[in-house]
Amino acid sequence: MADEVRRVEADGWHDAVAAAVASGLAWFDWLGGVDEIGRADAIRVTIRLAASPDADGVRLETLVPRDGSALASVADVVTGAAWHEREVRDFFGVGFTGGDERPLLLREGAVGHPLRRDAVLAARVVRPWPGAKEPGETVAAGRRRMVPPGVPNPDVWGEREGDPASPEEVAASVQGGRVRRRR
Amino acid sequence: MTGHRSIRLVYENCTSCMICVRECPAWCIALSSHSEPIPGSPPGPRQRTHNILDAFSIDWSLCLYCGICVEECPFDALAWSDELPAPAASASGLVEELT
Repeated sequence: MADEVRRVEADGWHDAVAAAVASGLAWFDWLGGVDEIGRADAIRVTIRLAASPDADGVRLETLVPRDGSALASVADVVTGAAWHEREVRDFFGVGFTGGDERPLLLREGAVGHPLRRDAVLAARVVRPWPGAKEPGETVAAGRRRMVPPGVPNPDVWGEREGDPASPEEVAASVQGGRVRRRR
Repeated sequence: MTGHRSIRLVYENCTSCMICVRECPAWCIALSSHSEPIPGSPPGPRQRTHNILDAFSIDWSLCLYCGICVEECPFDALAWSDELPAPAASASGLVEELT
């Protein structure tokens, strides 16, 4: 049970999906996004189609630049994809031209796209983390600081002076763990 | 069969290593510990110490019952329990000190 993966250019996305559906892959499984920051300055959008729910599927993938570029909506050929496209727009900031513009899961006017890897969990930056203490410490001494996942190194985000960090730096820094000693 | 209604602490096994606190995605575990010299170990500037667990609490208003802490604990100091957490009138009352 392995899916065939077809990589297509962003321009040819709609035609490739339409051709796949026309070739008999008419059962729509899902459409989603992956932030490829660090490998490419792009969001990978994937759609999985199959002939039937039990058959091996085909995944079509394309890379959309992270700078707010748009992809042609496939909701006209795969009606069920409309919700998934709205979700990808909410979470990754990928536009779908010709699709439904309304947010699906975020509130109206929400700022940012929470599943981009450079999205900082600001509420966690502010709240003290119970895991900051070392074993045997009654209060966090802060000599060798630990940060939780989703919170960047303070040198990168928050206490940084000068230019703000690039999205790549922020994304690489929100993995959590030991913070390097400040120079 | 053990139920999955709450998580209990096996005090003797806990080494205060902080792994559960750091792994918890809901930040619902809080732990406080201090280190003491091991009794009978040779004294000196680098006397061997061990950690003593002072307090261990789980905030049941935040806990997802995901079991990551039970899975991650290298000393089996956390285990699923059949007993429900005690009900409380407010969210702050759901912080339980485990012993």
